[in-house]
This record gives sequence, structure tokens and C-alpha cells, in this order.
Amino acid sequence: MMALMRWLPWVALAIPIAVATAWIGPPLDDPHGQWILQELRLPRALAGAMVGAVLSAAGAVVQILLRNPLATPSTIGTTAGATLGVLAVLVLGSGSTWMGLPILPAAAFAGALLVTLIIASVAARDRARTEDVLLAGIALTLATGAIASGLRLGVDQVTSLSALRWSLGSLTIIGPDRISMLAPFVVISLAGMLWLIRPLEVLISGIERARTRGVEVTRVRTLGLGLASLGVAACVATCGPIAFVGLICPHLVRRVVGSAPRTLLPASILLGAVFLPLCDSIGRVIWEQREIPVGVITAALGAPVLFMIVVRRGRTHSKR
Amino acid sequence: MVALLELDQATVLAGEIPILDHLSLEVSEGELVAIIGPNGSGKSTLIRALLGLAPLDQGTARIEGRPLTTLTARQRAASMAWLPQDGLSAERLRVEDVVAAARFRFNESRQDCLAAAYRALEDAGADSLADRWINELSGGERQRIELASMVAQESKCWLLDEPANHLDPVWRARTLKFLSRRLEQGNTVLVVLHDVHLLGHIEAAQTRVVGLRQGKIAWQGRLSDQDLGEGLETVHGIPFERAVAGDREYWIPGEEPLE
Repeated sequence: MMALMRWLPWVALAIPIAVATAWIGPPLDDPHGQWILQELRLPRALAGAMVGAVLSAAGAVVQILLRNPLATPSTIGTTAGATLGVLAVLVLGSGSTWMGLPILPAAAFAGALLVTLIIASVAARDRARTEDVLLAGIALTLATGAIASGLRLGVDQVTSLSALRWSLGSLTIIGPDRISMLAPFVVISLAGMLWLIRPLEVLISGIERARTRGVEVTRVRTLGLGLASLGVAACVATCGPIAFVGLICPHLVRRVVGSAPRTLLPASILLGAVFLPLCDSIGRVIWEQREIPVGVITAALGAPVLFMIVVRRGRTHSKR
Repeated sequence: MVALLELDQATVLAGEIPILDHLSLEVSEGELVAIIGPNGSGKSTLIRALLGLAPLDQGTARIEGRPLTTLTARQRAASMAWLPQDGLSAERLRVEDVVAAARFRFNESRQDCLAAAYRALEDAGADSLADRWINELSGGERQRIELASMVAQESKCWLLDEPANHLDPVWRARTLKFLSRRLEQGNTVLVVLHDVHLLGHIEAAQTRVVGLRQGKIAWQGRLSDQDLGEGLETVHGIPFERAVAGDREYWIPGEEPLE
């Protein structure tokens, strides 16, 4: 209860900002303005907030569980797995009528979970270093990416193009129906990850230390990776793979409030919920002719952050 | 009486090579056991085997008579606290959060947890560090946080893996004195040390020295034993020379390996 009260002002700050992003973009003065705002932009802002919150939290959780600031659902292959699952349904399934099908999140989750389980089994080996985990993630991302490209070749151009567009990651296709499909997964995933805060607080000091302090590490790791995969899979099924949110947001939060999961996780959720709708709005105004998919914006912002973390890590390592 | 910690014919293999080789050891409640031995003789593995971090390939580890493998992580945490060699995490964490996290095994409110963490910090003389970041602390300060975390865990037995490493003479002495105090308060201590003379900081009649060589116990005895020098020679495989300073007796390692 106390913890809830502590975060209330921040929640009260984040929600209006996320909503306000709906007004960013081409002016809404014409007769259709009200309709565009209510039917398109507000659902988009809402979905963006949910997706951003989940991706950011999933990034923070995966980073803690694998003890590496570079580990995120997009770097360990979870996103790629989910993407492959969705593409398989798009391409092999019922062609163009994939909107709102419950089979989509299921396929995404199956793909995400499969890849995550492979990664988790690599991570669970006794002598596995975190580098091994990341390299395995890269290998799996490349492999699933190749299969996904192959899948696109096997179908007609319209399906292939829509699949390509979807795989860039975009919030444009969001409607109220997709939000109601996304919402339960978001709630389960976020609540589950927040519920893991206590063991995560111990895990941050080292996996073996956590074990000697009473944490059932394997159980926490399986649960954590599963909940993160579930959330990420639902997001990918809704709006395609959006990279780097899980890298940027926790990284920024960590620099301000530190690494303790009890602050890192809630703060990452809030920042993600604001960050993604903002990026989406930027994509709407940056180029007059057409919208830039939000996945492109986050990737453009994320790559330098990734680079920075790598360089900084190199520096702190050589200091020893 | 049942031993608090017990290894029975414990063997840990690295591939084909035994790191612990059918080693048996019992530690009774209230005892101080110092493990010495050359690098690679299995000192850390012995501690890790007791904690369940290094699974045994043969033999049994028992805690208060119960096989280690039947205990939950929380039950193990109630019996044993560990100070590893690798040092505090480099993450940006508050001291109070780090010490509070050592109390995971208790089901208690955050308030009670923090109160206990502060008591532990006070006990280790580190209450002034409570709201500092651990990645900005000095070696001696980090040691205090490690000790405070062990106090906070409230385990029966303390297992310390070279707690004197990387510390200046003052902090080495303070760490050993701190262990001495824990013994008086009823804890059992198992400590890996490179320098037996550090035990001189502890005034406990129960001090036992166990020397490992190639995964086996090569010698064991008391610090006051007349044959300590011979024991050190057996364990390390080099001659030791006796030196006396004040009323204390020291053993200085020579260079030539024994034939």
C-alpha cells in the first residue's frame, strides 16, 4: 500500500502526458478532426502507452535476470521469435484476414516463448556467461529473421508488403478492438513482473548470492522470462516488433534512480508509457508527406544508446 | 550431538579431475574453522559445496543432520550466510537496499526489513553509509556492507571465502575481530584464509585449522599446536621457518619446494 502511494504522483503525471501526445501532429481543425482524435489518435496513444510500459518493464526484468544491461527482449531474440510466429500466421494462414484474430497473439507467444526458452536454457547452464546468452540471442534473431524473409518470398506481393510494413513496427493499425485484445496481456504481464520485485531485489546482487539468501533462482528466472515473453508477444502481435524501448527506458531510469528493482521497475513502466506515444507522435510530424513507423523512430534513438552502453562498459571493465 | 555442517565423503569433479576428493568434515555449533591451502586446493569449492552452489558428484552434504538436497533455499539461508570472493556488485544500488535484500528469507513488511537492515549496519559500524551508492564506496566500506548483510540475514553459520583479501592490515584485523565477536554471540564461523596468523586476532579456544591439498584434508590441528609449522609445510609443500616477535610465534614461508 505504501509503495502504491509513493508512485501515485508519478502515475498522475505520466497518464496526462501519454494522452496529450494524441494532440501532437497535423492540426485537427477540419470537420473530421474530432473523429480522428477519438477513433485514431487516442487509441493509438493508449496502445502506445501500454506497449511502451510492457516493453520497458520486460527490458528491465530481462536485464536483471540475465545480469546484463544489454539484454532486452529484442537483443535476446524474444521479439524476433514473436515476429516469426506472427509472420507465419500472416503468410501461411488465412492470407489477408488476420485482423483481430486470437490466433495471432497465440502464435506470437509461441514464437517468443520458444526462443526465450532456448535462451533461458543457455543461461541456465552452469558456466554460461552473459556474453554467451547475448550471442545465442543474436544467432536466434538472425535465424528467425532469415526464415521470416523466406516466408515473405513465398506469398503474393500485397501480403508480402503488408507483412513488411507490419514488421517495421507501427501503431497505425490500432483500433479499440485491438486495445481490448492487448489489455489483459498487458495487465497480467505487468502485474506479474511487479510481483517478482522482491526476489529481483536479491538477484541484482548476483545470482549465486541470491541463491544463498533463499531465492529459488530457477523458478524466478523461468517466471520472469515467461512473463516478459508473454507481454512482448502480445505487443508484437498488436503492433509489430518495436525495438530498443526495453533498452533505452531502463537505461535512462537507472542513471537517475539507480538499479534497485523496487524503483527501477515501476519507473521504467512509467517512462515507457510516456516514451512510446511520444516517439509515435514524433513519427507523425517529422516528415510532412507521410508517417514514419514508430519502430523506425525507436530504432534511430536506440542504436546510439546501445553504442554508448557498450563503450561505457568497455571503459569500466578496463579500469579494473 | 549432530554437527551443524557436515561433508561426508564429498567429491566434486571438474571433468575428470576431482576438486574435492572424498573429503569429510564436520563443523559443530559455535566452532571456528579456518580453511587453509594453496590455490586450487578446493577451499572455495568446499564452501560452495556446503552452500549447494557446487553440486556433489559423490557423497553427502548435511545441515543439522538433514541432507542439503532436501532443504529449500530459504531453509539453507537460515542456516548459512555466505561472503563470496567476488566482491559487491558493481550496480548502482543504495547500501540500505543491498543490506535489506539479505533479509529475503523473512516474511516481513518493508518497514521491519529496513529497521533490521539499519540495526545490522550499526552492528558493522556502517550506519553512516546507509544512503550511499555501493559503487562509490572504498574497499573497507564495502567490507562493512558485506558484513552488515551477513548480520541482516541472521543465519546460524557464517561461511567466508577469503574475507581478508584486498584489504589493508587495519581492515584485515577489524574483519577478524568482527568474526570473533560473532563467535561470542553464538555464530559458527567457517573461514577460508591464506594467512593463518590472522587467526591471532581471534581469541577463541575452539579455533581449528584445516589444511587442504588437492581436494583432501592434508593436516588439521589448532593454532597453538606445536606442529603447526610441519602442518603448513605438508599443506603448502614448501618449508616454513619459525620466527618469534614479542610473545607470538610466526611461520614464514621459504622459497624452495620440499623434495
